[in-house]
Amino acid sequence: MKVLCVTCLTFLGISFGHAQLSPPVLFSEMNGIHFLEDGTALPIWGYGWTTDGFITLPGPLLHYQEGDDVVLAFHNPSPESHTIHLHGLDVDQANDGVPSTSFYVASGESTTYEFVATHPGTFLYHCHVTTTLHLTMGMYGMVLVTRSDGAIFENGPVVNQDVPLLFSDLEMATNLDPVGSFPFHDMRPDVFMVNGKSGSQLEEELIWTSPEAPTALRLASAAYSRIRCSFPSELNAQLWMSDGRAVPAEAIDSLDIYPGERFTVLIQPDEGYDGGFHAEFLHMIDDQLESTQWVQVKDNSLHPSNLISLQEPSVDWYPNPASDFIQTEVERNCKVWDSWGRLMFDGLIGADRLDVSTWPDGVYTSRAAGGKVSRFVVSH
Amino acid sequence: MGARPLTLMLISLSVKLTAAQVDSVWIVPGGVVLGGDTIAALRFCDSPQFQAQNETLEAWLGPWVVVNGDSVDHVLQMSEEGEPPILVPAGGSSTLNMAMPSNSTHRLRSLTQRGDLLGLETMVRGEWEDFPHYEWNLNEWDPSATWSLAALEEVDETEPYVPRQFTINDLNFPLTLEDSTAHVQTSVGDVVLISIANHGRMDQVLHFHGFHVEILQASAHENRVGWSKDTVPVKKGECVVVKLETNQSGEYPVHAHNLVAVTNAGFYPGGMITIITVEP
Ligand SMILES: [Cu+2]
Ligand SMILES: [Cu+2]
Repeated sequence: MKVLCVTCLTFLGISFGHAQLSPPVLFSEMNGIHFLEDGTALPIWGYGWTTDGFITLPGPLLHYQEGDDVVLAFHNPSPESHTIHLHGLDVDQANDGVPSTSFYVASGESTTYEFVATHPGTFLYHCHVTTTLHLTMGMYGMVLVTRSDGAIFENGPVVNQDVPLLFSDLEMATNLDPVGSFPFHDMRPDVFMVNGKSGSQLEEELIWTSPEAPTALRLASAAYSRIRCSFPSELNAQLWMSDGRAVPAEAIDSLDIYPGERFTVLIQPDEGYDGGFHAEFLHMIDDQLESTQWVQVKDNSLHPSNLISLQEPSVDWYPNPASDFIQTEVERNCKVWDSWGRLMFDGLIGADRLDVSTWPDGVYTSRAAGGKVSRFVVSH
Repeated sequence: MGARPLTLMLISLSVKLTAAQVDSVWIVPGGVVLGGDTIAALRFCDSPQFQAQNETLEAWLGPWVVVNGDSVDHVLQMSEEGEPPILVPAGGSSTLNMAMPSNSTHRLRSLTQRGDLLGLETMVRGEWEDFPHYEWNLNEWDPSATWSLAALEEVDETEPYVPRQFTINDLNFPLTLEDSTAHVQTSVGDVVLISIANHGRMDQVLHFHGFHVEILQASAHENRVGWSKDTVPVKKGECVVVKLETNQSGEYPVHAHNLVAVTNAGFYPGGMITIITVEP
């Protein structure tokens, strides 16, 4: 099951920074698009790896080992200033990512954030420039600090996989018109996400468990809502950590996660388990239930073949980058948008190559009917 | 009573520079300018004169005589279990018994809507270990509702609630930095305690930059005593006490992480933000 674990982390953009000679560079952009469950393309701001060339919602998972001397390189080619606040990592003032007490990273500038990953656990990172707006636009991600011995903390339980589950929400009207979003106190989110996905999109986040060893759910919230997770007793859910520190272990059937909080919950359902848990999004002001999302959990004896089919739906483009034409092996119906969310192509692609010779340089996003998103670069 | 040096434009100005041991506290109506809005307010004051910030009551200095300078009766309730409500008639006074256990922080609140929504709510601190002790009273405000209440009208609390101002000790950022019980000033290696009471109508959650804090009390999360956290929920009505031991110098913000609450009239930065200043 380590295979699937890595698969799902890869989808989130995991980077084993500690194992690489030159650290990867995180960058920020303000021209991304994010697909809602109904296919709507929504503008986002966010973070991505420069090697990927595109930003994602949430941003890439930053994965370190306990004790790592982390040098996080950050480049900001976007038109406005941004920062990275390392939420919960107790970094020093200079690396705290708060513009007024630390520093801005202005348009076109690069910097590095340096800190020691002193404690294993689950953390967040997010932009701290006009935080109200930049966070809801998508400038956040998870930081996971693990140990080489598989224990979640020193002398703690050993798990067979870490499953990052980052809760967030956004208000569509704000993403469609960020400048017109002021004043901010009447913000009321209307899209509710787990790892950037809602509803049927969450099928991709299906968690495969093993009866032999616990799975660590790394729960974190960058939402405006309060999240309430309800764990059926068959999951045998146990709370072990909060905010990157061990807490007295206890069996739980529900857990409230306030904005900015993180928890590590171990689950270990029996062989043959087929179920999951609900995550309710409750408004912070009036406690109104806004949305319920369902995270599927299955025992890995059930559908091993799904391991492969999960990989299939995205469109594989070549050559990438392309200058004149781009094509794909499998014939599919698909749409292509530019980085501003404008539809560039809608139709059947396969034997016929797509002529991109007149398209401006940039990152393009494609999606086949019912499939995952893939991206390609046009460069002349 | 806690001392709070303060510079602030007020309709009715009150500047308090020293902690005076007094045995009376007055309920006084008035108005304050908060983040560009003018709001009607009721406050616990240390004299018959209106002041912008509620007085924190230090229980070991009690009992207190509460004098009601408002035009209506108030019924006050301590958050400590078993304490009966206390009627303070308009223009009259009642005695507030302060027998409360040490190492605990409580709220004193008004049971009337007028008192509750005009901010007649404060912290009552028992004696704690002898460390510098900061006090953060959290609240949020709907200015138009305060004027309805000031005109003795009822506010329909089932109507959608959209507060515009968010405060620590009845001040919003950046004025929080001028409040000596909101702005933490300490040195590396020193310990401070922070009592936090949420008097508002909504839950809050505070994020500490730079440090984890140890939870000493969390009246709505009792199983969390002893936990070390950087993001601390404070449910409506809850009193939380945390211990902060700093290990690095610098300026570290503490702020509500429901980011709606870090605005003044919708504009960032504002609201529930303060700073921990740590000298080397
Ligand atoms: Cu930003
Ligand atoms: Cu944060």
